[in-house]
Amino acid sequence: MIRLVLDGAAIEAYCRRDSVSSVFIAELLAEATDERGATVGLPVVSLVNAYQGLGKRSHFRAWRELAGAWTDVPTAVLPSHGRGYGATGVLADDVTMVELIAHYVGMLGDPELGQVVHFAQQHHAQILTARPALLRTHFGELYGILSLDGE
Amino acid sequence: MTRRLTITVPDDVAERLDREDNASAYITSQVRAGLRSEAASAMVESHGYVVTDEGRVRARAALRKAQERAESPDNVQRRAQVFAAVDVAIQTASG
Repeated sequence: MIRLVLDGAAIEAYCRRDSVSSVFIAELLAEATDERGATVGLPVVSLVNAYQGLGKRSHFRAWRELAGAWTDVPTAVLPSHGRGYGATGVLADDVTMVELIAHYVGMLGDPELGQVVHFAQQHHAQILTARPALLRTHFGELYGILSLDGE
Repeated sequence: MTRRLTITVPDDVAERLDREDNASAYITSQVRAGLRSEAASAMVESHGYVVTDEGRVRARAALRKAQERAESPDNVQRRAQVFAAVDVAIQTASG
């Protein structure tokens, strides 16, 4: 069961370990993975975007361990169409899924967040994001939205 | 590979297990979930974070608040409308 989906900014802040938000995200990671078997979803596109902001060996170690140990759904990378990285957590040949993501991307104007929304809808999961206002404008609270500062 | 174990549990746990068709599968799933939770905490700590009880309370409260906002009748209705509108748009586009 995916309880919480992280966007790239959340993953990057966790790996960088250099802000108050980093601590809050660590607390969420520990708490969201609970004894009932809940876990955290990391869209491949968010992992890719987070990677771009890392610089130190310790950052990359944290990133690798997150990517390897926490991604609890099968992932498949889709081709990019010039608007960003294409990646989802479901089968790449599922046309309906691609159409859904295309519409979310169109609404949000953001390839990554469009896929984060898709994950959240698919798993009825909450979202941890640096852009809560953008999501709320178009989707309301969905299944729960948290900002990196805890609001 | 499996092993057969004989275990002793308190009455309340035994009563809970009595309600399961397959107590072994239930225990296995609970223990595995616990292991995953322990692994998550260990990993976070290995990355230099110290997650205190206060921090867990803070995180739990944030998750609960977000869930409450999401479950409000207004939001449930809005969510359904948004996703329904997307479905209609896809059907329209596909003719």
